Amino acid sequence: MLWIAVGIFGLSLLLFVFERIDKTIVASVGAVLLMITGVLTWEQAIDAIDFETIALLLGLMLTVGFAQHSGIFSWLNTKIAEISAGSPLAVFVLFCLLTFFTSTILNNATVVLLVIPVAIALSNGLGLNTKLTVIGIAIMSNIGGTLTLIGDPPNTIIGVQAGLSFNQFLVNLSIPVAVMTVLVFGYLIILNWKDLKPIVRSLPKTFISQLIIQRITYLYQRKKLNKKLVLKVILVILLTVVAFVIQPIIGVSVGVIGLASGLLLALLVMKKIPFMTVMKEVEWDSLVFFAALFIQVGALEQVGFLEMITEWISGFADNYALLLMVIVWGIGLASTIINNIPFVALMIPVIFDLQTQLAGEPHLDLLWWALALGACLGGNGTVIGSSSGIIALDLAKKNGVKISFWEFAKVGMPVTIISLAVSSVYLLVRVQL
Amino acid sequence: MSNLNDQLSKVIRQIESDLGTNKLAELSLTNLIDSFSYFKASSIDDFYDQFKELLVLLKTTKPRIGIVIFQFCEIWEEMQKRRNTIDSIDELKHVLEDVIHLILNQQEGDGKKLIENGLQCVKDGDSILIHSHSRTVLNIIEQAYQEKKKIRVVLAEQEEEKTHEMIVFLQDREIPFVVVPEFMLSHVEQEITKVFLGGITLNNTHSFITDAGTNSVVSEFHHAKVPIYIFLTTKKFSLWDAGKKEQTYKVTQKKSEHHPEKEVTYERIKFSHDRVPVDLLDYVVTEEGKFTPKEMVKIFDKRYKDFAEWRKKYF
Repeated sequence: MLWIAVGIFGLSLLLFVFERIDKTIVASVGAVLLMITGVLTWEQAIDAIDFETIALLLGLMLTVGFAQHSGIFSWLNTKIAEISAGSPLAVFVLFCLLTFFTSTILNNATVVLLVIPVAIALSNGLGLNTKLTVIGIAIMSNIGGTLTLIGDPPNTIIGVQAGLSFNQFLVNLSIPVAVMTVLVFGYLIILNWKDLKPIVRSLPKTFISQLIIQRITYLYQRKKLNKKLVLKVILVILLTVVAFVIQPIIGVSVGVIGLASGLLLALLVMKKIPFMTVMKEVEWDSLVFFAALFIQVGALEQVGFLEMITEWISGFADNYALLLMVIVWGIGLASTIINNIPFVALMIPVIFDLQTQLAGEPHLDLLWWALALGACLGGNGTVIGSSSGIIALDLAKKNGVKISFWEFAKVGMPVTIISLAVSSVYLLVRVQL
Repeated sequence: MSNLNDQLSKVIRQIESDLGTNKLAELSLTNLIDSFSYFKASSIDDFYDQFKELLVLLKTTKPRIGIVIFQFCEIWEEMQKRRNTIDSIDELKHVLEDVIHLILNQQEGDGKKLIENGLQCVKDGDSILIHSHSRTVLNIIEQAYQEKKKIRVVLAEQEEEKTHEMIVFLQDREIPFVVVPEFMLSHVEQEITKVFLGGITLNNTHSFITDAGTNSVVSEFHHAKVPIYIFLTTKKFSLWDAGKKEQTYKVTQKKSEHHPEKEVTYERIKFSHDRVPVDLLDYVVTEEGKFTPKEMVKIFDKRYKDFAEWRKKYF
């Protein structure tokens, strides 16, 4: 049974990396095979699915779907384009910052989906380095998403399963995320300075950039914003963030908050945006993927494979600082080539076991932050490391910009090393406190 | 330079397609004012050099947009006149803004006159076929509707985006209309009393450059002897020697479609514009009045001759 479960999971990971078959099909077939081979019963498989995570993701997808239909994102994007005045540096920094901040409260893959089309239109039109803009946005979405419980799926899974609140993520991760954001920005700007130089010394370039901004503004703001609708969307998003912040006090599960957010918005805007329109746009395949993945990880737990990993990692338990480094760098580097979601799903039971073994250690919560930092930031190393990277490159390709695996890795790997180094320093300092 | 030229050509084609030539002309001017506010010239000479560089770029876009080139040449003329009297860049920017506003006002005035003249062509009981994504034609229809003229509007469906824009325009103003695909117009031919088209430019081959697909519509209704009107301001004339193929661009795409049984791959060819010979039309309406094709050819040729010096200077 052990080798069947490990074999199915290993083969699934391999197929995720090569992306020859749709990842949802791979995960689902794996889950069904585990039941056919008797590794798991039907009941055990259902028990293994974390429905709270699924509910949270579904709720947030609904919220974002309604928000997208309200036109608020198009408005925000075109405002950014106008503010940039066509300056390459401003386009790069503003779109990256927009991505960073929105990724903290919205799923980062969704943010990439909303920001990239406008950024590519502007960047392409202005003759800027579009590849750099796309890679920068993908990277910043992962860093921004690292900051909160709802920003990146690995964090959501960690937060829900470990019972960590929205505030705990903010309090524990804001310092490393802030430091690495500044460093990564600095690195990207210095690396690409020749493409980001100001254009205000050239009248033709300034004229063309203004013309492109005018067109983008027209394209994305053809329909007038329905102010009432937008106000409702903003109100619900604010309420959702507040609910996540006070979640430890009110004691309602984050899954329920997510669902409540999506359904409240559905009720408020149902006359303008049909519920079924947004329901059709929910990424059902991703939700099925998560469910199937939970089943596969449940099987590994059932056959004792996770215990074996825990035992191996426990070998470092004598030196807690070293253990944290093994987790942050091990998970981080593995996440550069393995989609971080299955890896996190696999590691959560391992961390629980480690906590049991290390009972009495004063900084046990650092294990979760090491896992979150490693998984989210490692995703920046290569394009296949995170879902936002995959979506960003798919969108770029659709818009005529082909970015190869190595082009992404050339920028992404140094960024990952900078980010993991900052995370390591932060964790080591926290151990000493 | 060629990179900048490609960028400018692309955005000009896109704006012309999205918003029409008149709006492109207006946007180019308002945009120039915005660009002045961001642009940091190192000296007045640098300002002149860079404006000239921009003018050269505009003269070589694909397609060349007559009205835009003409406007920028006018601004350049003004700059030349004042070259020795202006001391600072700020003063120069200020003067140019005034010049641009004058051109904009003049353009607005010409546009209004064109709509007034267009309105004279609309009679009660008319069933008007529209096809071009032309703001002028839509404004004439809007004005006629506001004046309670009893007309019927038939919209020939062309490229999805452009047709959608026209539908939205008519619907927002509650103007009743029906949509017929442009390849099915023969079925409504008998019902149409007039065809209204917008022109992007008229060149020295005596052809109008229009939206792609216009030529088939014109051929069909010319054959059916339904009066065809085209509307444009004289500022849109291309007063330089236009090559035979200039202003229509071929776009070839390799398309693949997935089918359950077999993948289909084929080459799809699209063109940016159509060329419509003036003699296929019945009336050309400008801000100066309504003309027959013969009269229009005379007017154009005279203007073309008058602009010989201008042409020598700029082309």
